[in-house]
Amino acid sequence: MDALVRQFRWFVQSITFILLSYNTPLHGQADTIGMYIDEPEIIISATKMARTQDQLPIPVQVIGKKEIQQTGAMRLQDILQQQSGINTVSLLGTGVQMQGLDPDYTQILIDGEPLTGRSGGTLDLSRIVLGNVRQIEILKGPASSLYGSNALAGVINIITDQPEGKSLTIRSLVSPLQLPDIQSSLQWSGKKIKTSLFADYLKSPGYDLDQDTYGKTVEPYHQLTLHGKFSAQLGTYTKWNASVRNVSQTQWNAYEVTAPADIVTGNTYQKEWLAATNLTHFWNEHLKHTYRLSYTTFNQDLLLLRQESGNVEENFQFYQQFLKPEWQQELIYRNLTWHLGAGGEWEEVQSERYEVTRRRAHPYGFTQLEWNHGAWQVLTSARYDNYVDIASSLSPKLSLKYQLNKALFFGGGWGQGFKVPDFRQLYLNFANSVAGYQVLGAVELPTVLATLEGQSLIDQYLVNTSQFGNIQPERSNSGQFFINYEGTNGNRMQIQVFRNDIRQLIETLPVARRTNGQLIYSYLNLDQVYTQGIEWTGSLRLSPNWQLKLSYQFLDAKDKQVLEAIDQGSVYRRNPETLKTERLTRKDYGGLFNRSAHQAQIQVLFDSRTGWQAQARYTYRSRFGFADLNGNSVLDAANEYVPGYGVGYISLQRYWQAWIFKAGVDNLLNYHNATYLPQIAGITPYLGFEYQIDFHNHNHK
Amino acid sequence: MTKNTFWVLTLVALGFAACKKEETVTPSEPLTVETINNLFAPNDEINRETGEIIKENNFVKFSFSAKDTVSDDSWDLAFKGTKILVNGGTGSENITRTGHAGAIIKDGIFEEMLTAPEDSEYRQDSGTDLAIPTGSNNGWYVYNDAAYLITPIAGKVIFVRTHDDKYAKVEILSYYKDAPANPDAFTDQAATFTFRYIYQEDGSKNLQ
Repeated sequence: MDALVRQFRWFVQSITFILLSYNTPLHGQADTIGMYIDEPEIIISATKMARTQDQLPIPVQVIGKKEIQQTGAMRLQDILQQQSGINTVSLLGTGVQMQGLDPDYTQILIDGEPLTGRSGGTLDLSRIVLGNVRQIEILKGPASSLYGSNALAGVINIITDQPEGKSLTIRSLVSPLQLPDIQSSLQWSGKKIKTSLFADYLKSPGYDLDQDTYGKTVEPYHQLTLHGKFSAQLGTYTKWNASVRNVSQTQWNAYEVTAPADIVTGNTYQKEWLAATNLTHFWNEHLKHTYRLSYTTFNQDLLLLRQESGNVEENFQFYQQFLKPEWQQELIYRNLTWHLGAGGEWEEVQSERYEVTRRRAHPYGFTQLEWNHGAWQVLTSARYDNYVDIASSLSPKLSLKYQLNKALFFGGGWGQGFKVPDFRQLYLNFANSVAGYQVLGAVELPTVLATLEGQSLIDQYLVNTSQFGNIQPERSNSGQFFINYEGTNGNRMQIQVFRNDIRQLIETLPVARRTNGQLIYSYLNLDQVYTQGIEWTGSLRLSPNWQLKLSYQFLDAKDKQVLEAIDQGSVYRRNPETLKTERLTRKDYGGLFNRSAHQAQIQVLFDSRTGWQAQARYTYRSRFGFADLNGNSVLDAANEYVPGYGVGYISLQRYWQAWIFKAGVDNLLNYHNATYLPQIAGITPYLGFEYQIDFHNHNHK
Repeated sequence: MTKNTFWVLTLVALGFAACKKEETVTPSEPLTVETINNLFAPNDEINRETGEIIKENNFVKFSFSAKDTVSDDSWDLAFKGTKILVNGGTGSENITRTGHAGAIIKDGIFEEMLTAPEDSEYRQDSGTDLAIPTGSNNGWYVYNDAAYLITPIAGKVIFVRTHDDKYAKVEILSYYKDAPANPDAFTDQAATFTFRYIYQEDGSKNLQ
């Protein structure tokens, strides 16, 4: 390649991203027909600034509006469930597992701002509706170097539509699970001031996968989402954005209890607010400043009553708020872009499960350097989080890419991530008098134990007491390597290899036994685990109308201490037939629970180019462990696995004037498993439409 | 070539020597492994609504020398539900401990553990702290609260000093009647022990 041409290309790219500041609208509704013409996707998550994929040495998976529209997916979990290399796991809400790491290690952002309110580490994906989502960016691998704690496994950034034009869109979808879902988006924009208001109301009767037990698998709920956005161009070089998002959800609960037999019912109310604003200013063609401020609250209110006795079964309130100011400077000089940023995070939690209102605040700073030189691209970043009560963290990351020729490039990277113990792991003070146990956060533990000790209520310590009161962040070391092929005919292939080593993993375990036999649980840094694997994706254009997409992920996730114990010959199991005790070998060990070794997906897409579109998709996940049954606390026996399964989807769409009609069936083969995969509903047909009124020319573009 | 042959032969010779040496150490006939099937030791019957004991059951007392259950004070271990007592120490249970028994749980494979531990290692019952601790993952079993199953932990060998200072090792194999491969907490009779043991009657610590 000619150096001059390259320089020119770089120059054009630079101009492009200067012009496309953080929130520039990219594809309007106009592109819905001819959806398979690939346009450069703008990716924000990888650098906190708008970049196209070929400007980045990090592969970012993007689920675009068209892909979302083509499915019956209404909530974030519905669409993520259909992606390979991502698992949804159901544990106190539906969370996401990336590269074999649990939901608490993935940061979920809306327009770059983090959501708050996790239950047991899981941020419930059902809180996010997709109606006004422009694209979902999935950045796998550590992103703590930009996003701090919780981004150890990666980041999912939900980018919502930007206000543009003057139009009203009404959308509705009806299925046995959505009776109905109604959405409307109003856009009212002039040249300088742009506004939009999005509303979504979803009412669901829930579903029941197991008729034998009382109550439904998912009980009825309804949810209202409101999202208002505003942007103003203040002169040529300054832009101001603001948005407010509110989600309120009411979830019914009903289940049976014994001793004495009764039925428990009640509602869980959940409300969240996200208010965010940012100001971007270009001082000159080299220097750009961005100021951001976001404020989030999450409120949960649960009241469960026993119907027979009228007694209160559970009365629980939880309130969390989060404030984050941030400043970022971008300095562009020739083929170098340098970022400098600083910010702070302030967080507060109130709940009866904490002794007092808990707060923490910490400042952070980050820097990032992008360097393009010939066929090389380098992106390096580092962030320092200065915590008060726990160890501070420095998170570096380095990514490289080399363009071999027009079609082929490869690259790799290394990074470190961290996750600070959350409020629950630090401050929880919760006693379950019915089941007879107590859970204490790591900070609470020493004081509570001292009190109990003074009253001679401690029978025995179950772990070394010197570990108490000294909890550390969980830390990771990760590497990845990728090769990308992009043919001119629209054929693509990518192979990605990854490895994450995590140390100081926080585990819940019994630490002491009281004289009445009750156990006291707490959180300690214990485990060291690794996850490694290969992800392969391929896309083949069979004809102008047909496209085939394939993907596969192999995952190996294991606990290093278990491997060590196996090598020492101190992990046993009993053969259930012969009752003979044998030593476990590495081959018998199935790794971490809830991880599938193989995941694959096949997708066929059709576009008539005359307004008809269709797709069929099948995702497969191999067996995964759910719990230890034979008493050695590791995954090894065949009956400790949930068998592998597949889920099929089909959909059809028709574009006609200002209308879009769609019909489809999710979970075509009606796979279900009430016990271990409650988040997968049975076979679900759906019907939907969209109608857009454009106030400029009364025409759907 | 010749050099290699030399070394191979040397190794073979050493191997033989080692084997011989071991053989000379083996003192006597190996002890027989006894298996007790379906020792039924039901827990007290409890009113699930109030937690009140409706019917109190007796501990089922077992003696290694008798190879069977006994009714007198010559017992070594006593079973009731998941609780296992030793005839030594103190406790609030409705049973008389007249002996000198003790126990200690060790990790390993039953066949490979050939000698009883030193006397200082044995624990006796003392109040709620039993020589063979109760509780899930605390002593000999683990409780699965999803399937409501009690499973003896593999690789746990209970060494017992008997009431009259003899030694034995015990491995509990099942908590359900007829030791089913896949027990069902709702259909299989619980508190029904299957265990195997080796008992050394000569008072030595050899358990081979």
